[in-house]
Amino acid sequence: MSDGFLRGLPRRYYLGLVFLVALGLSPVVTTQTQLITIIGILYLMMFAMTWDVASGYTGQLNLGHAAFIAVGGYTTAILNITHGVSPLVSIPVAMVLSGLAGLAIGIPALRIRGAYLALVTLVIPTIFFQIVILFDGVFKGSFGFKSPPTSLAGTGGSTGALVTVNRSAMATIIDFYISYAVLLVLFLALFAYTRSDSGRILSAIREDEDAVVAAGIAPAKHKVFAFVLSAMTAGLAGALFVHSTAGFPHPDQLLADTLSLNIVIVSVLGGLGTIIGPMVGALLFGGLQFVAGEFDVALPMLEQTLSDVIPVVLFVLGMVVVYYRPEGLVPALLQRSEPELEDPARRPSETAADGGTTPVEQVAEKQAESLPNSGQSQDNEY
Amino acid sequence: MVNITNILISGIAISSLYALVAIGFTLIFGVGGVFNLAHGALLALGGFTSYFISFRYGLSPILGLVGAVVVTGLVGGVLYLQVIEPVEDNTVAVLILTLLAGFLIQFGFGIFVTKQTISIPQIAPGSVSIAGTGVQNNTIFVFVSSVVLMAGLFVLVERTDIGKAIIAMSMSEKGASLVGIDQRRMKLYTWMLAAMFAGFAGVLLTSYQTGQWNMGLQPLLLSFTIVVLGGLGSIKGSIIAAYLIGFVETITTSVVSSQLTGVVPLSLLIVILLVRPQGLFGRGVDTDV
Repeated sequence: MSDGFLRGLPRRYYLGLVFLVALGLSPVVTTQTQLITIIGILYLMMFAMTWDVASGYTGQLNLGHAAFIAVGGYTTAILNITHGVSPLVSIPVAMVLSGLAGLAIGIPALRIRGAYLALVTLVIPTIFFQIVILFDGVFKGSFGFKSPPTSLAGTGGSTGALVTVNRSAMATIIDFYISYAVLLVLFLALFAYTRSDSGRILSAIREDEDAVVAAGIAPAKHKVFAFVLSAMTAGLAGALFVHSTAGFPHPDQLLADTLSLNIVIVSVLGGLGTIIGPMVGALLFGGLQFVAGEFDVALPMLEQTLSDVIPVVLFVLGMVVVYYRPEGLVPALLQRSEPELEDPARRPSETAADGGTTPVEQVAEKQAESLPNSGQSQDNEY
Repeated sequence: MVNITNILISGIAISSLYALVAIGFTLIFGVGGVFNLAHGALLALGGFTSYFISFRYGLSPILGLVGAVVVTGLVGGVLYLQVIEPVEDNTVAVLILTLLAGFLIQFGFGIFVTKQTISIPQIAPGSVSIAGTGVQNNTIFVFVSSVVLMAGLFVLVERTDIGKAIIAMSMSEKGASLVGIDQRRMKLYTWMLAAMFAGFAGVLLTSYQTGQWNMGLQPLLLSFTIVVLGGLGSIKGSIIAAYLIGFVETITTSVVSSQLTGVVPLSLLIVILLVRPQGLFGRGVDTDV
């Protein structure tokens, strides 16, 4: 199965590698304040790709990904700030609890599909927020926690830090690299998973769930697993986020409507169901905001500055992409630059011209091979 | 002691408002099978249009109401023709596009108009006394207009050709096409009608409570709850569900705790989806009038 994906190794993978290395070198050229913004972008990248693994691949839109992030963020904040538990313990606990939240959403998601699921998931962060308000003794209400949790890296101080250094600029750099390392690990894990046979089944589910069932595969466990994986990794990212300099255990940061919305926009921009796409989308989104913030100019006529109107620009950009390039920017660019290297798994609705197969066919064939009577089901048409 | 009359009056008022809020969402779902995630933004559009007309330009609030209905109707039509219609068959694209369009409209108001709370002059100022309880004329206006509009909608759907065509489409698009119904036009009418209802509801919402640039999300979720509870696409079901939710909310907030505002409908939604996903009146029966 792996030759299909190795075939695409040249150029675009090197390009991606160069990009990642360049991102990793950003502390060299940025000021401390700029670096904090970039750390924020790293987390948006993580949030987006953890979203993509469930929603982008199975096509089941989750419009409330912030809820998983918030489960992670609040768990670690409550354990760490209120109960004094070390982040080394509280972050893994947060991850497990988020995974359970993923299970709680993933199982009902088997019954309610498509648009219903989208709306239900849209409701969940709102309910979570109401819970935060109702139980403000535990969650500290709409104003968030008063003191920060233990930082990933810091100069000591009252809340302590996992890594203690004596200069705060250095602490931010270490903070950046811890976040960057987690980003890489998450990326590799999700990339490997989605390119595995199990990941291919997810793409096949998005295309035609009935065909997957007909091939003798139960989509249910794959869908639930994707949701749990998505939630767990989002919980990990959310938990780390509140410990980093870019985040804080506050509902505006963990439960804002705009957080879930931004995750969807950046994933759509980059390309659903690619893992790389949402990362690129988040980088583009964060980059635009970063540039707008750095070179803030007043716009004539509108009495607004550039950074004020940037959300509107991003919504329009998102809509234009969905409208004209529903597959997203990354697949669209790949298709243009290297048409012969097109990976059929990325463009699910069409069969590759060279006789490549769609995920549904791949899954069906794979399943057929593993059955004793393999020859017959090869001829099935889906 | 909780005042029963008060509960009854505010329950009726909020429920008839909820019915107006949800009906546009029901119509679009019933006919096109589309969840319009920009529905809440259309309410905000109604609220802001009337804010411009009757507050910034100081014209009559009635004119504000009419203007809001016209503007949202037009925007609804444009939204359908320019944004939704070309991608109608792609559920994911429709969801994302309506979501983004909705937030685009609302952020537009937040950025270019105001992030402050907006309020508009009351459409019917003054108050009267009913059974010893003072009732604002505005509240009565909400109730009466809701009843009149719903009755009008029933007449439209049952007695006119356009209404019958809309019902036919909600039953079977193929069948409707076969008997010569122009689908695109009927869907356009439905979107415009639904948007006009949303605009009307948005003005009343702003007048009854207050408005804000991001006022749309809560009513959107509420509409979804009502539509699910009432049975997807059923107009009658939606109205009954609106009253049910309105009263449950009024009773819990006034008897138990006012902190529960907003929590009740959402929690109900989750329970309904888990226990009875087909709604009170079943799904499948599209526009059971």
